[in-house]
Amino acid sequence: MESELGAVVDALPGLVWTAFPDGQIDYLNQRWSDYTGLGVEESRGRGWQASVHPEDLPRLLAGWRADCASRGPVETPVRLRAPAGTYRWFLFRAHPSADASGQLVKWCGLSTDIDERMQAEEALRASERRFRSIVDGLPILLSTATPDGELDQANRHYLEYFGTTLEELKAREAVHSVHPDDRARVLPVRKAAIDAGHSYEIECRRRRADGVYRWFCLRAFPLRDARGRVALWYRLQIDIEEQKKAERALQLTIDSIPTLVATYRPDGSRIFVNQTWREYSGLSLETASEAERIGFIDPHDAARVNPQWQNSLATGVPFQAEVRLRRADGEYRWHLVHRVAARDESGTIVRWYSVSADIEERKRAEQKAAEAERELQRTIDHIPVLVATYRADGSRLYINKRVREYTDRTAAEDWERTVHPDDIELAESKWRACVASGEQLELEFRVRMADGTYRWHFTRRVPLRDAAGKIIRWYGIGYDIEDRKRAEEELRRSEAFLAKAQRLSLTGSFSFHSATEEFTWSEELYRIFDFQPGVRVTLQLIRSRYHPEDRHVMEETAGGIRRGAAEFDYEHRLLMPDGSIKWVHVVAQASSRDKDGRGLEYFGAVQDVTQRRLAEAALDKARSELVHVTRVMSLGALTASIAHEINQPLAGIITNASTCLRMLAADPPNVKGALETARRTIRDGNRAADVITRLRALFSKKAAATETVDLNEATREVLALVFSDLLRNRVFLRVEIDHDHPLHVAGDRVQLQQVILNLVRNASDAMRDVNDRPRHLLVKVERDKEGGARLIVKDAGVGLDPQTAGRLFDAFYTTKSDGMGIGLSVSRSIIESHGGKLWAEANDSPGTTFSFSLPRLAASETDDRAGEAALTPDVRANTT
Amino acid sequence: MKESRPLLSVVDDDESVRESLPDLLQEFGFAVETFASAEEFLASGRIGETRCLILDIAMPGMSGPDLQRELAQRHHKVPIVFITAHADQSVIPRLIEQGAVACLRKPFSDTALRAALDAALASP
Repeated sequence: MESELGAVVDALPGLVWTAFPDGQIDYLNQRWSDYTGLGVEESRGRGWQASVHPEDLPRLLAGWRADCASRGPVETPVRLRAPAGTYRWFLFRAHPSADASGQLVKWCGLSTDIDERMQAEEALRASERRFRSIVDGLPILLSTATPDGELDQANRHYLEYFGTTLEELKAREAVHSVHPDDRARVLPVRKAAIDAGHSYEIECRRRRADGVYRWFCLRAFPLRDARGRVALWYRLQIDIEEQKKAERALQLTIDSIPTLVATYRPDGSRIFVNQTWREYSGLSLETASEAERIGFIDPHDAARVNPQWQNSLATGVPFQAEVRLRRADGEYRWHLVHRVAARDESGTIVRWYSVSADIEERKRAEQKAAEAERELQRTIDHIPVLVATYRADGSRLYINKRVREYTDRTAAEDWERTVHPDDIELAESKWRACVASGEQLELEFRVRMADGTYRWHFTRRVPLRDAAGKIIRWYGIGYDIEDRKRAEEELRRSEAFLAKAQRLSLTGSFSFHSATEEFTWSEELYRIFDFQPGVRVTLQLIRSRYHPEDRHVMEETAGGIRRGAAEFDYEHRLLMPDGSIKWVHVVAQASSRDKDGRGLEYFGAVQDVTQRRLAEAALDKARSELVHVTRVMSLGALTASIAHEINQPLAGIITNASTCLRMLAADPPNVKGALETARRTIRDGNRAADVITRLRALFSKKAAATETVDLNEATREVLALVFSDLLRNRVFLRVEIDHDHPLHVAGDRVQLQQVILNLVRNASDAMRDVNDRPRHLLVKVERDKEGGARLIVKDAGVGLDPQTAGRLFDAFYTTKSDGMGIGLSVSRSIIESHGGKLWAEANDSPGTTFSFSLPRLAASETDDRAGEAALTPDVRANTT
Repeated sequence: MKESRPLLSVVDDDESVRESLPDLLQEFGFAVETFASAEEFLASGRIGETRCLILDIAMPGMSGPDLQRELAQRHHKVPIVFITAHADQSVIPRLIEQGAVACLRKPFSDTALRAALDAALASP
């Protein structure tokens, strides 16, 4: 049985043995012996230990200690040496065998070859180690996380970056070390992705162990189980600091370039704008989308270019346009906008890139240039000059608007056809000659106007040559010289007319240069002096014609010229060759110094006044005859005046005398009445005699009876006499006379009173027809500045007619229907015979003021009362 | 009794005429009123009774011919004898033409005046 059992044990595919807790083996099967090459006996006791790998033996023996038995079976992998010296892994499984008391007595064991397995396991472990080292060696932060995002594993870089252990990190919050500025952005994205279970990618800054933040790109992918639930998150964090730096540098560059940069989505919506754009528009990245709403692009321009932009968006054709863009201050400036599409590998448009360059200055310059050109064109079109250009061959290239408007429209296209038929041949031949020779053309010819009339024109055409001197263009101008032509014609005519006028008026003209003594004589002057026309006129020659008695005139004139006299005006006689005498009147004026300032130039006229001289002589004779006639006539007229003066008292005399006679002839005679009438007769007789006396005094030119007259009193007497008349005429009389002090003058009281009366009557009469204003009359007597007396009679009448005012004091001049026209004339004679003056002035207000002034009374006369008394009888004597 | 005498009105600015003529006319047997101006006469209220008007031609203010026209306009058919000191006779025919009975040049004789008055008072 034992051997049978032994055969079984030996057949088992393993090494079977029993061992004591102290490590001595008491049994081992044949297979052990076969494997180790040690005999059974040789292996018993502690002999077997030589086959066990020294590194494994202690562990094996330790497991067999008695105290290990309580733990049940033990398993230990151990390397056993084969006879060839190689080791193979065996799994030593030992089962404790106890006695009845529970005391370990033996370990029953089976060692099975697990070398294959161990080899495989080892290979796997090596592979895992390699993988781990790779993961740890990757220059990225790797980690895994639980489905709800809690950190699970992290690679070495991860731990090193944050400078801590996995356990420490696990204790931290979910998203640690993220830059505070980025947290708000990162957390929601991450949370949303975890909740939804899809991958996410975020860029953010994370703080390194040394406190420095670096940019990372965070990516997480979920690993799902068979049921599709998230089992694990793989998280990858790539340091993009350098990339970000480059981006920032690029950003800085983009922001710094002085051009508006923007990017657009394929649908045309704006994504990004650079700093320049933002500064220009005054908008931020966030508000850039409002640009269109606030009219960033000038609305007119937007409407204009939008179809083009839409077309570009649809087709991918680059967009280019000039638009006005609104600057932050509201000013629109012209920009050249250029947009190009960026495509991905498949050719799909992913972005539009736009740059806008400020071309305001260029635009302005263009506008200015355009304006200048328009202005030039306008100028050319509107200057009152005909402008044309011609090709080198003389054919016309361009005409300005003026030409088209001005010339005959039907012929405007053919310049030459507008030329007067009489001028065309000359014009064309000259033009051909100029084109051939290259000399400039100057020509006067008649041009047909739009209305068909011809007007004289002047044209000048000059060639423009290239550098080689070849004519490439002709420039021509033309202008109307009709007026000049007419003026020339007019001048010719007026010269002819002047010659005729000189002939008719017997007036010659000359000029004379004082320095050179050169004369220019008109035709008529030659005729007057009877010189051969064209003969050289010299002072000597002129002198030969002077009347011998008038030669001194010539000498005086010569002296005047030497002194530089400004003008001459003299008459002298010429003794003509036939012995006749001519009177000439010479007038000359110095015009100006000549250019050299050496002498004066005189212009003058000489008139043959012989006929006038003769006429004047005849006139003188006639005048003296006329004076006589006038005198006679004056006397006749005066007679009427005298008759009137005399007839008045005479009528009284005769009537009274008749009455007297009848009264005396009555029965009984009315003596009392007759005496009264007789007394009146005598009085009227005296009155008539007074008139005669005064008239005699006037006409005999004898000095008037001189007495001392108080002009104040004399005036008052006159006014008392006429007061009722003035009242009847509704004249308001104002008197300004000093009643307390007499104002003495020497004169004839009656005459002076006649004058005063005359002036007052005239004034009253002048207001007879005045009904629209008060008939004011002022009579004023005052002392004048020279100490004489002045009397003023100022009326508000019809006033003086300036045309006839000069004749006021003429005898027989009157404006009154019933006037004799003798009063003022006589009055003036009276005042002048008193050494005074009588005059009239128009008032500022309506009416006239007549005044007379009388000289101051000599001192000796002032108090000469005796003189007055002595004179009076003489006067009386004259009247009786 | 005096009132039954025919009234003659004398209009003359010359005082000596106004003084002398009434006495003579009274000697002729007329009643006389004198006026220094035409205006005074027009204002007197004696126009109606005046059988004959002895009127000076040249007067300040309204002249004799002016008064003649004024009376004609007022339809007063009083006969007028003009008297004038002016030698100019050219105006006389026109005055006669316009209805004056006579025009006497000063100085005039009492017989000439008498004749003129007779003619005036005889006219219808």
